[in-house]
Amino acid sequence: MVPPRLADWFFTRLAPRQIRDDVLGDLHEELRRFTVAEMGPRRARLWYWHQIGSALIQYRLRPRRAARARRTHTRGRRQNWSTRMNSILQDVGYSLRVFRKAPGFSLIAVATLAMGIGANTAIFSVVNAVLLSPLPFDHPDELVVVGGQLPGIGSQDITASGPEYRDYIEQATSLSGLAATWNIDANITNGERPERWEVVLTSWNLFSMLRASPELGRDFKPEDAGGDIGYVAIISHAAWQRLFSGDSAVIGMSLRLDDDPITVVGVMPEGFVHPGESAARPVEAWVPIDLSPGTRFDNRNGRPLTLIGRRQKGFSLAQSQAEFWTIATNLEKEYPASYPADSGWTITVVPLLERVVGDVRTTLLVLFGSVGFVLLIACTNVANLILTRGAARRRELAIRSALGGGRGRIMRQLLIECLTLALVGGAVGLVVAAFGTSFLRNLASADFPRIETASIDGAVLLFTLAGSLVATVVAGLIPAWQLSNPKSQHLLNEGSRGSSAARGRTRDGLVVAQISISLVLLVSAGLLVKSFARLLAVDPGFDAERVLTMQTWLPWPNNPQIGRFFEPAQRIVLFDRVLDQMEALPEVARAGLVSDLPLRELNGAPFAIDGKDIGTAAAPTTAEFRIVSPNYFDVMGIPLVRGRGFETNDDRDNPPAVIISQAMADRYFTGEDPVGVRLRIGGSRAPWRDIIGIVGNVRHQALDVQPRETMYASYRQGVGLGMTFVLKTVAVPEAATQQATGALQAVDPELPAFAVSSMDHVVNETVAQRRLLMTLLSFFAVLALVLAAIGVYGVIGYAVKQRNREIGIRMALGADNRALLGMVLREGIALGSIGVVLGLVAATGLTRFLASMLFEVGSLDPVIFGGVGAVSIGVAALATFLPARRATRVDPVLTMKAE
Amino acid sequence: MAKGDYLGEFEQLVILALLRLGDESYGMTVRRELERTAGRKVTIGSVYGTLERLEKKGLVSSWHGDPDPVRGGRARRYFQVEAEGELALAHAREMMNRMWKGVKLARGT
Repeated sequence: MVPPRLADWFFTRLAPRQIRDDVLGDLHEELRRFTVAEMGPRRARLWYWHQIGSALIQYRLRPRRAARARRTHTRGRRQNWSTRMNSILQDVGYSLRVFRKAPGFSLIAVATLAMGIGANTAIFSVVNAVLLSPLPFDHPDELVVVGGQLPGIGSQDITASGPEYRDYIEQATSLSGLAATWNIDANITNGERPERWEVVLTSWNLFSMLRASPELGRDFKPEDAGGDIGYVAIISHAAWQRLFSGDSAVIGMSLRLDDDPITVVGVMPEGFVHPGESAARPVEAWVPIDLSPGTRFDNRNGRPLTLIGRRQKGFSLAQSQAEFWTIATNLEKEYPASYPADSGWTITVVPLLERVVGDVRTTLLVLFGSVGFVLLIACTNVANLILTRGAARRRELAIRSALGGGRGRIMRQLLIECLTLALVGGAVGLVVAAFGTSFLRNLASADFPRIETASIDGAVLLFTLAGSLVATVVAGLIPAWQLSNPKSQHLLNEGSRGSSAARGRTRDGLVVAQISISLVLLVSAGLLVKSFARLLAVDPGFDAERVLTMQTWLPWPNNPQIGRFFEPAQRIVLFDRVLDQMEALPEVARAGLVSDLPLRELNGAPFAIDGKDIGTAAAPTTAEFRIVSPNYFDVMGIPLVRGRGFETNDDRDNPPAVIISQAMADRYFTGEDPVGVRLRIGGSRAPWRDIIGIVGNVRHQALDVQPRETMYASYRQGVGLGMTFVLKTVAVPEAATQQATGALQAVDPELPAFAVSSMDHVVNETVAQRRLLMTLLSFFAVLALVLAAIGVYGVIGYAVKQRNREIGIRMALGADNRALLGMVLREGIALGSIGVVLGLVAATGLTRFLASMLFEVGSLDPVIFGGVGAVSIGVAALATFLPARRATRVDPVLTMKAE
Repeated sequence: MAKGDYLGEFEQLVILALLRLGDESYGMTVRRELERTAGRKVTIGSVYGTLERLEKKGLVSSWHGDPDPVRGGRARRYFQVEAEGELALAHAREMMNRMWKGVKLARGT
């Protein structure tokens, strides 16, 4: 049998040189010649490890103690670094022995710390992936997004127009490159089934500005962008694999994009992520566009372009921002019509990372803060445990102190015990975190940016280590200070059974702190739960039950006139036929159509009302505009309030009709009847339409945003290219997906069906982030409450044990059970109440950080504050009740005898 | 003899083992001898710990033999008891004998 290599490896690294070969030689010889024969290979292996291990302890731990004793003797207390290291090792060894003697204590402490550190590590892994880790580009800190602001008309973070892009390129010296992109989607009809692709239209310089290049083929050249939209494309690695099976002959092949042939010139490498791309909607292709004067992007007020730039070396973000403020001022003077003074036009330069991360930052920081509180409570619990254990160890500590162990030395020993606990807790916490991280990845919605990269990596490991060290200090410092106090040991040594008042106060203080911290978390969770309930209770204005939604898009080639759907009549006929097919399905009760699905798309359109002076030509008033099928209101359960709905014969042969929402009627027709009044949607060349009816309000933007004024027109009087089918199904909506897709493609096999989901799902997606925050915060709050309850239980339980004698005497003197129960309960409730009061005060200060995430609930909601306070006192009372009941079972005779 | 120079019990056992083993005294044989004859579970680490201490006090000495393949090519480190060692052992026994003189154990043995 070969001696265990790992054991030898340890030994050669750790044992002192002078005995290393002698010992290994002896062990090898004995193992080979005798041990295997005597014990069999398995036990021989164990024997070998035992020999190696104890030899290491013999040589690495014991001699130091002797050496140190000698040195202290002869040279006083001066120590060199290695002796100090050795005595620390010795402390670790001692700690391990202490824990072995008290496995229950160690297990609870480690488990508590593991929960605290693990939860923190899991959240940190997400914070790290989403907020901290750099974007996957060369020098990502140089990348910025240049956006416009029109605060005067309520538009923040708007994109840019072609002329603006050209002006910026010409005037900005602080940028080394600026690319313009526009995310669209397009039909791809190469494969067996039509697909809908997320496509980025871009200026030719995007990849060179990002310093990324294709893995196959070439980058764009300036001349690629001839015409309106170029005829070449670079596709993503995933698209290449899926559509072309990774064939390297793809370069030069043709891609059929909205019926136009587009030549593939390049393939981006695997792992290239377009800035801001989400896993839910991966970018499949990039197509260059021409942004020079005279093209379709030449309208200064049409702003579809997202501008991504790279700062020139030597220019700070602030300098770049300052330069763009100057550019904005110049443009404002040059084009006063486009930038009216009251719009407050300005240009902002924002780091790309900030824009990509967006509004999840607040969510994550709130979570990170709360989970930090959980760790704090966990540490407090461990501190209390150590104090309790310390009482049991008072003799040992007193002996150490009497033998000349200074206060510093004893404190160090106690802190090292705590560090050992925290490191083990951190290691177990990593396991908790590994589960937690994958759980979080699944819990978050698909459009949560960058969360898919969250994992336990080096930075996260460092964080765990740091967490363990912090836990050591937080959990260990107070007990170490208290227990090493020679005075309190002295008191204890006199055999007095009265508890040390100082230590009792510390423990009480810790419990009060726990209760107040957990209360802050509970209040926060309570506020979020209440606003979430309020949000779900909001009437969106439609009935999402059993509604399947499915989007399609008619191809629109570069030269629209050659397209199959150029004439409005062609489009109307198509949708007529598809709707007929769908209604004929047994799974579908009614089939409707809408241009922009509520809670998913917005579409504001300028309008004018006959005889009313609203808005101006330069700054027209706008309202939401939807093109719908006549039965749309019926399918979606939107009530008709006045007048009539659309009829099938509201078509191109009859006068144009429009239906408005209640909110629009209220705003523009106070005290009059809108029905019969004429309204125009679009510019002055658009036809006047008769208002034929009023329907109920729909929250188009979000559940927590008041419904906007809305206008509806019938598709039979004019329809665009992109429409969403809304199908009232007979059973579960998703079950009809395949049949509905079939019905669409039976009419035109080249039309893609995409964004298929139930309306319920659409609603849920809009509250996904709130749900995530609420769920996690509630979990942490409950965890905190449980930990705090354990803390109360521990402290009161200990106090009861300490006072057994007193309780015994009281019983002997005739105190009845109820009085004793009351006495102990009062103590717990008093602690609880102090904690609750402090916690409520802290919560009033802290919940305002949640204010932006609350809906119809004030950050100082009295019901939540009161309710949580009551629950906390209740839990404190319950945690007191168990030890209190034990107090009443004290046998007076036994306790007196025990003296 | 100074106070610190008295041999501990385990030190006595180790020196006795060396004397019993004679030429064949090295780590492994000492360990096995202590287990077999004294009936004590002993680890190689504590054997070396004691032997090194005794060597520092000048009671035993050691030298290396030839490399041996069964030991992974390592040499045996043989030990032998010096005169000082025998003397210390004799002192220890004498001390015990003095103490035993006149002692009768009430429960026999």
